[in-house]
Amino acid sequence: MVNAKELLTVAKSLPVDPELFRGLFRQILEVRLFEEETIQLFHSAKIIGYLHPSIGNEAAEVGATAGLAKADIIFPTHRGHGFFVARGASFEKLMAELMGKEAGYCKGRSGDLHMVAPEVGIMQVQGILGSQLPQAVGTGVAHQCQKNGRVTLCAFGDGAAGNGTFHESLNLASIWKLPVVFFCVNNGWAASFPFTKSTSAATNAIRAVGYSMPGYDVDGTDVWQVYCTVKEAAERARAGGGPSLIQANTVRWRGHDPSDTAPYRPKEELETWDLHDPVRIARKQALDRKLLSEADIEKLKGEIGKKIAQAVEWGLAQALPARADYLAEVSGKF
Amino acid sequence: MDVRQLQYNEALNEALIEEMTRDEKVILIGEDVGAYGGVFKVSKGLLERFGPERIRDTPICESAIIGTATGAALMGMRPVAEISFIDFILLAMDQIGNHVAKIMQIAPGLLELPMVIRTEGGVGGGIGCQHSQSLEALFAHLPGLKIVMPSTPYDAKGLLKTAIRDNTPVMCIENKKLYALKGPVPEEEYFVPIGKADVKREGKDITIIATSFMVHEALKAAEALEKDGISAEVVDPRTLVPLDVDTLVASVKKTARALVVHEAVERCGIGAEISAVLNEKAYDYLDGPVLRHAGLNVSLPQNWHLEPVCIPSADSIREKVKSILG
Repeated sequence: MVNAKELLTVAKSLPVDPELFRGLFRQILEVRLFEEETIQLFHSAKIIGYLHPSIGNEAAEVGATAGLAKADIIFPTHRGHGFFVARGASFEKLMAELMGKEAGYCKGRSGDLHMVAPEVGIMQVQGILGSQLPQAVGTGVAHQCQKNGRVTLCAFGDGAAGNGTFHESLNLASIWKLPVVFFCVNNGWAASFPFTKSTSAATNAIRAVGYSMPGYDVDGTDVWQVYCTVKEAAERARAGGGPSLIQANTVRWRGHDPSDTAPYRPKEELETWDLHDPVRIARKQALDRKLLSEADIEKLKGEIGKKIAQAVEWGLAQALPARADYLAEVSGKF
Repeated sequence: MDVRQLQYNEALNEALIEEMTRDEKVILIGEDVGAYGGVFKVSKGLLERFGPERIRDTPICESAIIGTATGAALMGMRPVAEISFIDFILLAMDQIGNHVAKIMQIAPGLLELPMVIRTEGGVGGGIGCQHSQSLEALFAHLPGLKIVMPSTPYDAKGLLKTAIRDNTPVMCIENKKLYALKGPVPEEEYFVPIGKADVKREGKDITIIATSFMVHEALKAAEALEKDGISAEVVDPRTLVPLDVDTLVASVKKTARALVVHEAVERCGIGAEISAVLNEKAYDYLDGPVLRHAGLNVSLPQNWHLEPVCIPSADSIREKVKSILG
């Protein structure tokens, strides 16, 4: 029997930078408050179609984004609002898109499941899980040809790692030594199917060995650990050292989406959520390290809440796309 | 001055060389496209000329070939992805159907996808049902893809060059029996527009609308039909999406009869679409129903003795036309 730990790479731990950590905490809080709002808007049918909130993945998304350079490219998962928030995408345009409004990022045609924000380097969310991996490889090919110094972070879930594209993409990225960081967010559940039953390895990270690349297994609820790991992998990729595979372990908050009550999840797992709540964890880290006070955090909450409320108000005031305009634009074009 | 003669695959090769020389954003991705020069020799000599960064030999991973081309296109490259047999493209259907066709439409004005998917189809050489299909209709059913099907070396070069410069995804579906076909290809640069049909032979009694290799069978049939006192017009749509409806209608207006011929199986083939379009747009000019003469609805046996039963030929087209006008 192979000892899984021996196959893994561990990133060098960097000393905590107070300024950066405060910024990361703020982003984690932004993602959480943004998502609490989207869930309300979903239940009141102001957000239409699908919604896959990032609650539980905040630290993974924020830490990974921070480990990249600004010009690097991110492919989010279908549960990926956190990447948009962490990259500083417009809350107004995000909310408007989720509401199906013309003023949204994609004129109200993409919603939650196909959101894209090229202005902040975020590629299109794909509703076919795992389909983004070869596309991320393609951006890596472009970086290599253009010698642009960019790296692509390709996020995907533990469920998507079961798709054949996982193998094809990691193999290609490795043989071509592409600047791609594969970032598997393992939140324990692929809809109703648990990681323990879906995955024949202790962690996807050990699969990296078979693709001749480093594999990291990290606590995805620890923002600093994620940051240090992605930064190391991204810098290796940028220097021509090729791809890496990271599995960031998180815990999904409740169901697959707000309409899923998750009856298939063990009661004790749901009851211990607090232990894995990235906001609580980051909050404790910030307080313990005396980087923020309780009062600072309350102030932050107020500021972020206001920013989100403004975005919601703006989104609600926007117009839905006019059917006649849409028809005129697309009719006979495709 | 005599116009230079090139083979269909040489014409495609020349199109790639010209476009890759002109624009370093053009890259080629596919199985055996490197040292081997492509299964049908379309990329012959390209590796030596452009190097392994732009001529990317891949493992067997059709889904990743298309996905990789997609990602590269999203970053401003102009990739040409080669799927050596169209049968293999079924492995990449998610990337094509759910992504290549859709990405630009659901991110209006935000993303461009200047990519070409080159592949081929058609029966030939007794290589069986997983190397002989004509699957173009599957892609015509997906809004967001342009589809060209050149039947001559001239059209192949001109259409591929246009496709590479197009800012939206284009599928170029070639034909294995055409790669060795010779035809005139001018030395000077030219383009064939996407969405423009070509009347390959003028006639007045019936319009035969044929695609790809069947254009040549239809031309042979038309020649033979002359001896039967029938003047057949042969129209090659060249582009299936967008279809040049005007040229098809204009021809039918003249002949009042139409027969659609293709190698793909008849059921839900492109002939069904062409027939429906003519029914809607040219009904008043027709003296009879638009008919189809296409591949048998069957999975091809791996036996060249049986192949002629499964697809149309010049003889069968001639008989079909005589039965219509007889």
